[in-house]
Amino acid sequence: MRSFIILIWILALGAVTPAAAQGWTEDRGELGTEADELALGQDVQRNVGPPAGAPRTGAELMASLTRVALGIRCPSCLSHSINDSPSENARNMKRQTRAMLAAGYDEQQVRDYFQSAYGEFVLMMPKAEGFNLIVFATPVALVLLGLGAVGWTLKRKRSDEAVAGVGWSEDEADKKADDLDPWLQKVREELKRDG
Amino acid sequence: MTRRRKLHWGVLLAGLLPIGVLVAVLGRGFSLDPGYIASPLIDQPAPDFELPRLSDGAMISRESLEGRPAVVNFWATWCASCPQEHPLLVRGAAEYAGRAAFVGVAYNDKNEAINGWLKRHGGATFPTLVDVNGKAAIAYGVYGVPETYVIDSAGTVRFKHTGPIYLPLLRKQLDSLL
Repeated sequence: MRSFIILIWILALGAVTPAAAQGWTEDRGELGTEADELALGQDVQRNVGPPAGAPRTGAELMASLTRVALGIRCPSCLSHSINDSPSENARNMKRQTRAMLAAGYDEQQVRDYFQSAYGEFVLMMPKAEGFNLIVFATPVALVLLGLGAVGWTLKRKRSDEAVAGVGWSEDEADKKADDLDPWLQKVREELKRDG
Repeated sequence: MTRRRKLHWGVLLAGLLPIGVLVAVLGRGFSLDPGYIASPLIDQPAPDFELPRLSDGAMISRESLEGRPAVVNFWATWCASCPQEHPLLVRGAAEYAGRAAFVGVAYNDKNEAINGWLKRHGGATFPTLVDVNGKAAIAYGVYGVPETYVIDSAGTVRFKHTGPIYLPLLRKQLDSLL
């Protein structure tokens, strides 16, 4: 009976989840025409100047769109890029990206445009400059620190082994000590003679 | 013996240093509002827009608001907190009539739904513009609705508020520009 209830639950979840996802991605906005979709925002040229390249179409446009969209963060879902997020905010931003690329704006101009409105936060990969350098430098510094710690530990271990004579038998250790210390050798000879 | 003690102090310091840095960074992080992200538009020229007015379809531009402070409120009929915010904006628009311009920008919405929503919530005393495809919202860096921008009479963004605006805050911002 219990497994039957669990099965019903699983089936119900399977039916509800796609419906919920469909509801989430439903377009609530006024349907724009193709001209609306390709229309640039009023402020684009003022922000990033005229298009730096030639207009893109077809496969070139789609490849460029995917590349740029993967690097722009969806502002309402934070951990997803606008390429991956099904939210309306992300879809609007992807449309804007497509319109700019189709008009001949280069990929950096598109990133700069979004950054001018949302700040650097909108970039999935922070720029390697200023305070951000900590993000890039910390892993390298930690690896170097780790290598240094390993080297220092190995060196210390080797020096301890040399002092303790680890790996030598007692006789060998005595012989090494005698070789190193003539005074000790003298004491041993005297003890032998006396006793 | 002395050498060993020195080495232990070194290890202790090497361990404490990154922990101290981590605690300092987390301490600073926890003292900030995680939802607050500064807008790069503050003290910058307000992005241009030209959007159709809901009532008659006439195109209204951002420039047409210049000459007096303007309140640009991005909202939507599907936004949960907009019903609480709307009466405050209506009251604010009445208080500052003739001194400041109020504009609502309906984001990602359909004309029919906007008209129905406004009828249910007592109408609006200020124009509502329709942002098809959210291009104006993108230009203003809108994260989610409602968001309110206060623009001075020269067209410079002076203030941004994320979430439902409250009247004392709006009054304070507008009074500082009048």
